[in-house]
Amino acid sequence: MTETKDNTKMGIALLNGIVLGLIGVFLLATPMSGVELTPEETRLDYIAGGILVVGSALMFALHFRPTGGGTEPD
Amino acid sequence: MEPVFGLTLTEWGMMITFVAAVIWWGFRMHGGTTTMADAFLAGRKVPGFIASLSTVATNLNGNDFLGGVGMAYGFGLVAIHGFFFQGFTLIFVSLVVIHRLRALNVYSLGGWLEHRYCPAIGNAYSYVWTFIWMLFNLGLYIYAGALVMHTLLGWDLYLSIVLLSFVAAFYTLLGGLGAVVATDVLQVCLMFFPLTFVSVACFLHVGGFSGLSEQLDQLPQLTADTINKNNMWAWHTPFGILPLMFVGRMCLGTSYWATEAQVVQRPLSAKDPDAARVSYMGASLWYIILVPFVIVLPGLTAAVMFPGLESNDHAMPELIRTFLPRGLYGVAIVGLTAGFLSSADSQINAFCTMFTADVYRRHFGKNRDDKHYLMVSKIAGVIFTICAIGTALLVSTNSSGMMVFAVGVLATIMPPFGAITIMGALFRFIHSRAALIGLYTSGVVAVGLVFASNMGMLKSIAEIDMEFRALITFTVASVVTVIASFVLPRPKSDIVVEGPHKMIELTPLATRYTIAILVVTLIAYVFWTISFS
Repeated sequence: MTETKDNTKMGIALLNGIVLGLIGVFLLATPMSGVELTPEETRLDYIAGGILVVGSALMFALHFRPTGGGTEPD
Repeated sequence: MEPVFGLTLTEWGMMITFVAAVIWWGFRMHGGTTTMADAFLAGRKVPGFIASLSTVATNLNGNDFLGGVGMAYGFGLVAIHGFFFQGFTLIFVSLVVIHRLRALNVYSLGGWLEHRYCPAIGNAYSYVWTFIWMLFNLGLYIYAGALVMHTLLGWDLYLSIVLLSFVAAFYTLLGGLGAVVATDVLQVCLMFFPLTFVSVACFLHVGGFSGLSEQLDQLPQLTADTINKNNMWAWHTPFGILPLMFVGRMCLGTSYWATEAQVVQRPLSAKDPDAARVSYMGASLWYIILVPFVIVLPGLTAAVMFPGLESNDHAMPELIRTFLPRGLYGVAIVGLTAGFLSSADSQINAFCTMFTADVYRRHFGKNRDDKHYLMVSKIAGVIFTICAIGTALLVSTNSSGMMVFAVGVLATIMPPFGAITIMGALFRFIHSRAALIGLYTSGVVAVGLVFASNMGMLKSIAEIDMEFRALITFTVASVVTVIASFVLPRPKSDIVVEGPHKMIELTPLATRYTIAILVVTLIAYVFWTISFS
């Protein structure tokens, strides 16, 4: 059976990682979007957004990690 | 900049990104859904870890986050036992039941019950779940999700009901279980991520475990007989005396994990037997380790910070409003939306599976090709969703009564089927005639207990009598089935399997997971007991 028919090994980590990364970017942009936040709230948004973006990057790395004979989607 | 329809600009960006992603998964997985196995069980190729995430996402939804926090808010630390016991019940069902279902390549428990016993029992399960339980349950999911939108964002309740239903049905019917599983992975991340921040904020605000414990000690006792919310080992609990609660929880949890169609699909869709075990056993580690921190801890904090709330279910929304700034607040809203969708999509897919495989193919359209069955499943899925919107609207007219009713239905229908499933999996001598008698007898007992509960006759045993009713019903079904198997002759139509019979399937991986879960549960019990002593 070809990979295109292997429904669940279709880069779930990669594609969901992109979504989480985008949500992280929106979170990082919140303090700069005109919303009134205290310094502590701003820090919290930056921390949370940073975690999501870093997590997304890790999912990218997981997807493209070398596996001996080349890369394989997760 | 002021929020528009409850969300700021960047929060709208998050919500649109999430909704676009789940719909995109529907299109992405659509090309691979050419057979029933592809559409209903993701081609039986789901890796174990992904299946375990999907199990968690399917089972935990906004109701659980709101209701679970509400339970800890209302009843205290004793609510934690329910999550720890998931480990025991998931081990048991994984070792006893799952491999037998997979061996027959069935699409649902109904197919296995038909083979193991007789068509009457298989049909009873299929019809009750397809046309009664799932319809009502999906309506509840949709209503609860819409209520969150209405409460936290001010959206129109009825518009929210329609929107949530449309989104869930669209990507589920398009992409099948593959889309459901893929979105579950995203949804479990979005459910837990913001609530982790809430939990950490709660922990710091109340001064850690010692500070929380001191403040809980100062709260009024629940009743004259109960010790305060700080004690997880009180003899008298709202669920009955502690041993009753434990045994009842085992009966209810075992029945749930063995019979609830949408969760059983996870191990059935796994790529091999070991992945099937991981799908359940891996999920249990989430319940034991993580869920108490994101559900019980916030609930206890809310009990200290917001005593006297109108409803226990208001505890989580109050915590979100208090601790999460704009931005993270939007992630929490997306997370709660994800929670509802993760359960609704599973319910829709489970309905399509059971209706098509267990009802339509069995009775109305035999020997047709997969293309025909997939078309039928999609039409049925649309009709089911429309009917569930109707159920959601009905629930909206009497929400508290309906939710209590739903919990009652759960405690009524699951234990009888759970018992005959477990008995049939464990003991080869159980035959169909005995199982039918056990099912009917326990059904009568279950309905009788419903009336007794409604008349307040069970109040002296337990304020929340779900565990007690499950215990009685499960026990009656098991005992009657076993006795009837010895007393009555086996029907000639029963399929008799020769050869050695293994009651449990204990592979090396299953052994490792079982030991790990038991050790982790023990550590968790010691940790939480010491933290609140």
